[in-house]
Amino acid sequence: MALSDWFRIPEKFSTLMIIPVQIVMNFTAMIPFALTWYVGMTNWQPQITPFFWEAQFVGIQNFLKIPGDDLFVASLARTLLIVAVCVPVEFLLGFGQAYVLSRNFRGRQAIRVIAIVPMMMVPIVTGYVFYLMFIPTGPVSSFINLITGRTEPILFFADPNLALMTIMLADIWQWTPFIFLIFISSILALPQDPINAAYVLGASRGYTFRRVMLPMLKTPIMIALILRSIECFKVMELPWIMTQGGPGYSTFTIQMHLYESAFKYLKYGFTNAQSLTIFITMIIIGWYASKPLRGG
Amino acid sequence: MSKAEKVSRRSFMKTAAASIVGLAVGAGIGYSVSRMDGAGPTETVTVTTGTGAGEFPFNVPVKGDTPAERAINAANYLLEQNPEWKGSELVIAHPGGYGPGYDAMKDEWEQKTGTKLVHSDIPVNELFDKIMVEAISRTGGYDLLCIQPMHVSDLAAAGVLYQLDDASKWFDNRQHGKPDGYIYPLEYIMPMYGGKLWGYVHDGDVFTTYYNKSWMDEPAEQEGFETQYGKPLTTAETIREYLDLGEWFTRPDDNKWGINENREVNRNYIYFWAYFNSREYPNKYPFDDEMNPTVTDDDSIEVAEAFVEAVKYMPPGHLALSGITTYESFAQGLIFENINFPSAANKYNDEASVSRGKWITDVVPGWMVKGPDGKEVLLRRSVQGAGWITSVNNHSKKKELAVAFAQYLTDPQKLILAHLAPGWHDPCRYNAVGEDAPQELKENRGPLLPPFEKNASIVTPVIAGIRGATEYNTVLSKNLHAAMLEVSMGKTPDVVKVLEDSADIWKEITERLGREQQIEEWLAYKKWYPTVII
Amino acid sequence: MKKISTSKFLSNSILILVIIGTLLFALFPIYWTLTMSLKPAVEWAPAVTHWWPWNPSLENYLPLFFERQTLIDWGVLQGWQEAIPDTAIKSITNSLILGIGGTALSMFIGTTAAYAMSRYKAGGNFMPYLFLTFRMLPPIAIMIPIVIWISTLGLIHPALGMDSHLVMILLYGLFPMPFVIWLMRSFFEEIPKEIDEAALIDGCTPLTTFLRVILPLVKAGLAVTALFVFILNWSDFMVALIITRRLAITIPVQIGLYSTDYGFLYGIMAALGIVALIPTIAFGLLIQRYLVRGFTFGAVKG
Repeated sequence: MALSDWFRIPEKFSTLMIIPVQIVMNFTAMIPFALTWYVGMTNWQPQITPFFWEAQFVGIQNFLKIPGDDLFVASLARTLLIVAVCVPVEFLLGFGQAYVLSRNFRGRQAIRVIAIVPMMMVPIVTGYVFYLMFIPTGPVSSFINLITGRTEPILFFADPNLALMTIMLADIWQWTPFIFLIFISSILALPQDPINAAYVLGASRGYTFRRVMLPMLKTPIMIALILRSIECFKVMELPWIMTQGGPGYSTFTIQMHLYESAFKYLKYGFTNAQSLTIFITMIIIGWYASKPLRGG
Repeated sequence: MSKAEKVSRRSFMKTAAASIVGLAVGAGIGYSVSRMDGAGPTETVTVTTGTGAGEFPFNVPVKGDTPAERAINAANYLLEQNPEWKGSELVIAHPGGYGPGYDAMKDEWEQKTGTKLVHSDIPVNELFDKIMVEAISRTGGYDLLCIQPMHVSDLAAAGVLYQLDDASKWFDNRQHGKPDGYIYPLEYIMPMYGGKLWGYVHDGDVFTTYYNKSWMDEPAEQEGFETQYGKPLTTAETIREYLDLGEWFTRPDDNKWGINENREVNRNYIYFWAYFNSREYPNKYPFDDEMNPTVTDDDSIEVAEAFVEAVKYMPPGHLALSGITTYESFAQGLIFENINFPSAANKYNDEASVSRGKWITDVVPGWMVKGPDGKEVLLRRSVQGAGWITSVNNHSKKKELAVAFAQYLTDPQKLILAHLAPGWHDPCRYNAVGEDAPQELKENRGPLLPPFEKNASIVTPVIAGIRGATEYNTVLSKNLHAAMLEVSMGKTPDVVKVLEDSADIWKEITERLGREQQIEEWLAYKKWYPTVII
Repeated sequence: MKKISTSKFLSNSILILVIIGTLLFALFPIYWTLTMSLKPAVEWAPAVTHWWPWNPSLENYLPLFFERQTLIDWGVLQGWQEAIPDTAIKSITNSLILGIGGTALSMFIGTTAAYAMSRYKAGGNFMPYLFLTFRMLPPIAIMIPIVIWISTLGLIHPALGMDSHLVMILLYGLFPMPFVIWLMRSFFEEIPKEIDEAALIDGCTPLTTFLRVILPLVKAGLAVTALFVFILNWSDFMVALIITRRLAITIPVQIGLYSTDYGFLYGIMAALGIVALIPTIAFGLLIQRYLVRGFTFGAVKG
């Protein structure tokens, strides 16, 4: 079979197109992925032995210990709380913003670019800047005191609930543009005929929105929600910088717990088991959550 | 099934097969390459190049009057034996911003040996994590490591550090005794693990107590304090006095507060041990001889309650501040006292500081305990906050040269240059403290130096010298932070529960790491704690 | 006198509200970062809020670009400020190289695979979901095995080992790949298969169809996906922290270096943050014309 056939015959071509991603994945990630499973079933700690093949193999025991680990469960719950609050808020804000700003008005290009700038800031800097904004002598506390007449500075980071709120706020600020970008593009690309037809037939804005636009936006909605939820679940840099998980454990996310357990406490083996449990759980949840996108 | 499904199924199989083949090939490569490398933990290295075959360092002649000279001469000898090292670079891994201290010392070395010092900065909170990865990657990308005593045990056990007993004795890096050795017991509690030496100390970090002299000297304050507490207004001898002073000077309406200590979530353990270690004669150890935690007994509860009480006398929001942002309030003249790092002195001496020239230091307060002869005696213990030691990477490709360099960088005279440079190389040798210290250093550090030697003679470590040290300390720190939070919100925390939770986790850590070995290591390390009463 | 209908008035005021809200919400932290970068050290965490720098200066930008020794010679650094890391130039260049290289690699492998999945159902119906699951794996799980694997490879050749640009580009090409596949696949789905068939009938090879006919049609999608991927790689901290040492250090790690044991140099971090915004914003401005037309992510065809 000649080499040029690979470019000409469709079936061969499709295989050819898949090859680059195969090469990169196999070369870079396949072995580590298999190793993750092996290490997850050992008690490997580098100060006992730096060679993973010498570590004690314990099989499923690591996985069985996980439900009993209170900190793991608590951090997981906290992270789910963060996702449950942040993703819908980001979604509504981003979608609403995109809907309103999709109209034709002067300066729309500039506003749309400004709206996506927060996403471009390096998250570490976002963390430090939001930290500085919420310290007792920062602008947020001063502003709130200004309008409510309080005199004492608000201690955001000393209160568990307020600290969690600042982190959610930082995340919302940073990632609403992601949703916004997806929807400003999809709304702008909607075919105008059905919409105009609805207006001509006398439908109100609300009705047009619900019955005509929304169904057409089903795919970007699913994509935005799924992608954003997966990323939000892995939030770590913002709480790491802003509160280091404090006060106490109140802003401790699951990713932080895994990082600390692996790199500070050196429980390489056990942490891998925990990570893989999360992985499997997310796959199962994702399977059911993406059913509308696949079939229905 | 339909043709489309068949096609899709077939194509999925093809992809899966390709992945498995890739996996197998990769495994083959990995296996064969891994057989090429074989350095294990704590192997001694035999240098057999040249005609003088024998073990390093005994095959290197010793010439020179000072440790730096001996190091340079040894380095030049090694460069003769290994000409491929000539003109190369030696990489130091250290926390961000630490470079100036090293840069202040490096000139003579670079001139006389031709090898250069290269910095590799690491964010200070991730330093341990990154250096530990070297245990797995074994690349030798770093030659020298700048690490904290708490890290020594885990890193040495993982085979990242090179054992320095022989080199230290052979080249005499002035480990012990006056006039220019390390202040006892720093050279033991900082770099030792399992009875062996793993690094050369270059930063003492001996905690001291700072006081706001201008407030202390005011007659109105002195009278008022004496009336209320029945004691004169002087520096604190016991923790109880320390807290009383804190209470007296806490006046929220005047924006004046008694105490500010760094109580951040991951590092407040240092301050806890400052309160804890002096609670029993000769020291209150965190573990007994069977590695059972002692933090649940009555004395510990008293210590924890005192520790948590101090939060009442700190400015609000203090718990959330990290790093040295806590030092700001003392520098601004808003605070009366704090037990703190010696490098806080640099901040307090800064030109922008309001407290400049208005502070003094004294020995860390302690407790009245039952002495060796049964009578009550005042026992004071300082704590070794987080000092730094220069270690050699066991996987470095130029180990022997790095050993020589480490000796050079911790030479008594060279360290003075580092103390004077910006950064936080703090005094750790006798020649940098006391009467004979260089004038420039005395001016630079101000009132820090007079009690320094005294504090150093009673310095105790945080939990160190046993594997898992970081974990033991951090777990306690986090639990204590939760308790302190309740105090700052006006509630009374359940200190007993905090200590018991921490003790339970400690027991689990000990079991996981192997109780026998932990006991061995602990007993070997415990004997370096000081026993003096001052 | 023209009477504006109430609904139009309402929708106009909503528009204005949203515009103002967007400006305030998006720009205030940026404003704060900018002013922080212009504030001297005493103003970083002062006792009262400084809404703007009382003594603005560029001194926070200098340590990013000039050596410590040069600054001392110029008399710019005082006191404890002198304990700062080396310049940030290397990290900026590295971030650019790794960002652009990683994005290019990711776009290449992702787009080719997405096309095959869209047109030829390569790998079956579940392949895209398989790739999505890779994003679900917590990075911690795979970082240590990646270190083991890469250091093993490093024994063959240093360019394949830790702290090498090649390895970082590979990783930066690998991690965002599920994103690329998902987004590009939906853009490809938007284009009716009839166009492909027409091109093939006209005598194009599948390759030419892909390159000359289909790709130009998804230019907008390529641009936006590239922006997302670039931002993902530009912001990455964890992978860079573990793998890079000093040769391949990137901007997020460099920012971490300014949190020294001796003090958090907030102003310098903010300065580097502002500098780091520039390439991303430039990228965004370059592609903004594609945002006008928009795309439906495969929801609507034709």
